[in-house]
Amino acid sequence: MVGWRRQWDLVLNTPGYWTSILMNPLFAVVFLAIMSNAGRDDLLAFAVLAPPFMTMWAMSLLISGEAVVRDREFGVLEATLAAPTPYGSVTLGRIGLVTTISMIGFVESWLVALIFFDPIPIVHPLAFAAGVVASAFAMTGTALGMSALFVRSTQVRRFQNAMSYPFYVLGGVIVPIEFLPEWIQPLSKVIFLSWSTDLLRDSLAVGPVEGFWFRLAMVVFLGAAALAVGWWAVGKMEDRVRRTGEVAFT
Amino acid sequence: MDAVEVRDLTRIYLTGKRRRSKEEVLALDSVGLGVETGEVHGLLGPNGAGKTTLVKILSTALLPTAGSASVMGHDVVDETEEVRKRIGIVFGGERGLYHRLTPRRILRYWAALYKLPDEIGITRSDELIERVGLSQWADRRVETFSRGMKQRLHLARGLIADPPVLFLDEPTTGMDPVSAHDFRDLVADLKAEGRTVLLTTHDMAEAEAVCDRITLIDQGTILGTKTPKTVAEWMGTLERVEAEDVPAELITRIRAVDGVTHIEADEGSVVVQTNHPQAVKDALKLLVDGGVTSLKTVRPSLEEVYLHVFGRDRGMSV
Ligand SMILES: Nc1ncnc2c1ncn2[C@@H]1O[C@H](COP(=O)(O)OP(=O)(O)OP(=O)(O)O)[C@@H](O)[C@H]1O
Ligand SMILES: [Mg+2]
Repeated sequence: MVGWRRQWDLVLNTPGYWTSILMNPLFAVVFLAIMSNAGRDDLLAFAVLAPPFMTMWAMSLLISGEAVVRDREFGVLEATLAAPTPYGSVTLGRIGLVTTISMIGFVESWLVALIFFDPIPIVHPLAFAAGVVASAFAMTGTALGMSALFVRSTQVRRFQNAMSYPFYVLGGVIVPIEFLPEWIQPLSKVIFLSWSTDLLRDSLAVGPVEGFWFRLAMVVFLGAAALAVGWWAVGKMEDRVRRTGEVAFT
Repeated sequence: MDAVEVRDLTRIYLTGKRRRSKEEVLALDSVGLGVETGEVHGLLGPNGAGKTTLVKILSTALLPTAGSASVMGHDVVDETEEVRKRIGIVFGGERGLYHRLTPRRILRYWAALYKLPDEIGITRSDELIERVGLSQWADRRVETFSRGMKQRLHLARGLIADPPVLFLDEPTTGMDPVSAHDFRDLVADLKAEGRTVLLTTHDMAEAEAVCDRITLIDQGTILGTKTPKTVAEWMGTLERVEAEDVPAELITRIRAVDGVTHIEADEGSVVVQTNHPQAVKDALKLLVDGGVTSLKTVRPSLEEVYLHVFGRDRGMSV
């Protein structure tokens, strides 16, 4: 991962990335209000965790699509490819930075609960912290995998929209996976979000977090798998650009 | 060992949307070239000659279709990493910069991509900003810059890793004459520092002014490598005179001058083609003595030189 500090400049100057951070508290208010009014205190953990997961997913996906597209639009892609740093680590650095920033969402949500509703106790703080970090890693890997998809598409933005809500549902971000049709549930299991959200909700709840290490390992494993695919695909993209000369400098 | 060696290099682009009906564009046709270490070598050619294609291949941004090339002894296909460490690239034009960033930020970013330690990246960015004369604008967003300023930033970017070999693709496009003149000094400095420079241009005067040797390229083929002196001679030889309000009688006398090859006359405005510097002087003298006040000499275009020297008719002027 290269140039964290330098990538920061690029990210800082792209207004789009900040919308999700700003929307996060609003979502938190809405979700918490719905659950409280419905008297579903058992689902408060959902309400507080859904917005930050949505923030993380949206921001990471946005950067994964934009990173390559922007480099191409600005005519920077070829010069970047010809630099000594592999393009995969340039992209990974940028995505990793944005994902890290997106973790602010967890703090925002928690503060919203504290200020406007009842404080949400974090019963297992270490498990929670480990879960958040593992999720951020998996998110970075997944986004790199996605960037490989986006790079082939000319309609990145439409693609990105299609990529959000279905995944929130499949990943158990908005509703528990048990609510989904049975045939679709196995699909959830290959999406790191479903493991992450489950793990974090359990770490907020009273009682032991069962199978903690296995579940944490699944989050990391799914993230690493996506990262490997993404790394490979970015390499392929590089090869293709060099072979076809598709991206012009001038 | 030459700093840059190119052997039988061919590049074909496939164009067209559909896979089946792709058309082939032969951008480089068995090109051979050697750039000596420490030399400023010009690659002179009109639009579409294949200059950018060659530079892209040498900088590892593009793969050759056939043939091979090496930079400082490292193959551009098999040893990309070794090559990338040793080269700086400057591609001309408006593009290639993040608009919202400032020169300082952009250079630091590239320093990171070239794996420079942070402190070195910071000091070198500042030095280069100074060197290309952008100090005053170091913290302004690039989107407000003129083309020439962007071009100078491109140059600084190419130098960020302190590379022994530099590829400059049309580095003065968009620069005003003063900047272009500064650029010549800069190239001289780069040479004095022992760097090897391969510079592409379609400007004969620029090539003549900064290069040690000049390779002429057209439609993917190398026409030969010449000294700047030869190119200067071509420019002098093929110079033409243009004048307004020339009396018919005077036109007849100019036509008779030794070395005047062709005259186009249209309602008193004339274009006098020559094949000898003396002919230009003689024609000018006749015009001045004849009381003509609106007149100028025009250097031949690259296309005209190619036509006269190599007999290559491109059927157009760019
Ligand atoms: N990506 C591409 N796809 C298809 N054809 C291309 C591509 N890039 C260049 N060409 C073609 O290859 C030939 C050489 O182009 P190149 O850009 O190398 O020329 P050049 O000498 O740099 O010209 P210029 O002075 O206009 O920059 C031209 O006919 C051009 O149209
Ligand atoms: Mg070119």
